[in-house]
Amino acid sequence: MKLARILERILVSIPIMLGIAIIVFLFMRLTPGADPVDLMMGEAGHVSEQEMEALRQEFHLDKPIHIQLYHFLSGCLRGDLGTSYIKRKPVTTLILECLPATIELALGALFIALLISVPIGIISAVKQYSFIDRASMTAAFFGISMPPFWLGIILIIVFSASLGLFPSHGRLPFTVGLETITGFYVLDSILTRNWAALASTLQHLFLPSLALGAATAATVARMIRSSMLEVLRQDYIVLARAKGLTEYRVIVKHALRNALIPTVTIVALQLGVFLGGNMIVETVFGWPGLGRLVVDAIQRRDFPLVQGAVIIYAFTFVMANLLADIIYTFVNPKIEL
Amino acid sequence: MLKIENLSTHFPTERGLVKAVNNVSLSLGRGEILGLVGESGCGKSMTLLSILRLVPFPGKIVGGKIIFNGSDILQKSPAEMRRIRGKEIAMIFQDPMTTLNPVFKVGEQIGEALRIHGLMEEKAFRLKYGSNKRHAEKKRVLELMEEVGIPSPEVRYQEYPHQFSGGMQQRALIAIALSCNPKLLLADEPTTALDVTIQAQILALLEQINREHGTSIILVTHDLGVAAEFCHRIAVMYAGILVEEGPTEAVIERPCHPYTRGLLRSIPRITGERKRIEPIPGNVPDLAGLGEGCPFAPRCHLARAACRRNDIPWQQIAANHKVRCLNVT
Ligand SMILES: Nc1ncnc2c1ncn2[C@@H]1O[C@H](COP(=O)(O)OP(=O)(O)OP(=O)(O)O)[C@@H](O)[C@H]1O
Ligand code: SF4
Ligand SMILES: [Mg+2]
Repeated sequence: MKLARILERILVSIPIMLGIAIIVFLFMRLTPGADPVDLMMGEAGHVSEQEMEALRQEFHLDKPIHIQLYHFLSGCLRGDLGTSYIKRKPVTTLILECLPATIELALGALFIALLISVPIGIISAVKQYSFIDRASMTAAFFGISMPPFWLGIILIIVFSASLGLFPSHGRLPFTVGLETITGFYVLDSILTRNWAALASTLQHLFLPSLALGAATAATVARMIRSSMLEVLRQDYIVLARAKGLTEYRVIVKHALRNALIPTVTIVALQLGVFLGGNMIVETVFGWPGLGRLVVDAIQRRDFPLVQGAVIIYAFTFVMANLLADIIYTFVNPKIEL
Repeated sequence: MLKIENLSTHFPTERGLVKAVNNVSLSLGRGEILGLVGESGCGKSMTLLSILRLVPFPGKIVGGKIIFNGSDILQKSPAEMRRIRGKEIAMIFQDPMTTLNPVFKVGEQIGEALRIHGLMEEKAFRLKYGSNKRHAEKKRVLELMEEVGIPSPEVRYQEYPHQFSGGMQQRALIAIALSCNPKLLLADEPTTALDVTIQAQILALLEQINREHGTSIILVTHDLGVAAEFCHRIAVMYAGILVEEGPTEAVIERPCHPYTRGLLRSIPRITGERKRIEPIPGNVPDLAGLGEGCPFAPRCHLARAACRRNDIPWQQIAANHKVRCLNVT
């Protein structure tokens, strides 16, 4: 039963989430030298003892740790991740403001990764040991070993600073107005038929997506190549040829469908990595997303915000896992409905 | 209808050149069943794959002619070749479990050859199955499934290969092979992977196809007993070359090549008094290091110095019966 399998997976993720929330909470509280009230007041100059006490009460810091944990967990369930020490706004609000930017970048990276890796993986397998195969596998090797921040900087130097082809910073310049509806600029500009904004958004999206997606493109290309090579040796490929199919249909219909089964899971998991592993790329490209918010929060020791973001990261990973599982269930006919 | 002349298919390998098919000549008449018999690795599958020009890399057909219906298959363009595959010449494979594509429904896989060869556009087909392509295809597929003995075809049509047993998978593969009414069926050990009872059923099915459609069949098997029961003629292959060929009765009653005799002694017989099964001593040689002379010499108790020197010529024993051995009396 596909449905039962999916339900089971959802149930299993609940205790995982709970465990992560507890661990994150404890880590944050046990970090030494981290009295948040001190941190908050550091900038305000002279503060009276009463004011400090009021703040402690506001954030439940005067209570024992298990009571604090209780407040934290029950808040999580209500979608309340606490209040930022620094920005004095609900963490949930702050995160939701940044999330569309991060999701848009993750989808962009996924799109670019697939656009590069699928054709290259197929061609390298079909033309094994050809020039194309060797060249792209060498490139893939560099793609995997290149740190994203370094690639990001190279991309900025080449495509932005020298060639002036793509912007290197932000999502959209102020000069291009865009009425935001969903926070996803690509979607918003299409919804409002603002083609200038769409073009600019896509231009801004390109370099960070490439920087974020390159390593995945390389990994996936190698995966597709090796699973294609495996599939092309199978008897059913000989049968497909013996039926009189064109080589194109043998590869695209009979081989690819099979080769993609192990790949889709990895790709879905990569989406989790894109959502949660983008601090560096967002910082390099000045991308106003969750990653930059977190880097900022860490530097300023804004614990509730860091805590909330880590919870969200964990949540996206669990969701990506679930998604991977669901997709796998549907593309593999051996798992019955 | 099929005439193979001096076919050679070689594999360059690190250990040396493997002459998997070495100067093989065969012919097959309309409606005839030819058995191609030999031990594992002697080049039977490569002979069949050469006929379809589907020899796997790094193998290559390096010489010979394959005359099918008057013209040489080896001279055809890739597009002409595709029109022959599946339509004129179809193949059944050794291992049904790995030959159906796991991600497509069985019905879809049976209908595929009909679609790509455009059978639904043919007039006779439309008259028989209607002009709605999708319905016509399904009708024909269900009919094929019925013919090859797949029970409740309506249900099975929608199922995936892993839901079929091995025997049913082989039946589905036979349905695929039959779908375009091929004139020649290449059956590569179609029963080796199956249980004995299923084996007999599948062979009976092939015999029925031969009888009802007049389809010529080349049946590859390593079991001389199966060939004896089922084929009109038998060709015995050893290490890439043919060593004996003739009508079934002649080859079985009066085997002339020591290898054929060895094969005959190694099959259990049910008729007559009990005989000991004697395996042929020695192993199949490594095709990469094969030199001049009779390849069977290392295992042959009649071998003489002359056997190892030159290629052994064919000797005619009877009208259709010939053998490649120096010691025929
Ligand atoms: N890909 C390959 N590379 C190198 N040599 C090969 C390759 N495929 C087949 N051969 C050689 O071709 C020879 C004939 O192989 P073939 O598959 O035709 O044997 P067979 O008679 O069908 O045996 P079996 O009963 O095991 O199916 C083998 O001995 C093998 O050495
Ligand atoms: S030719 Fe010589 S070695 Fe070969 S089978 Fe005949 S007797 Fe034996
Ligand atoms: Mg074989």
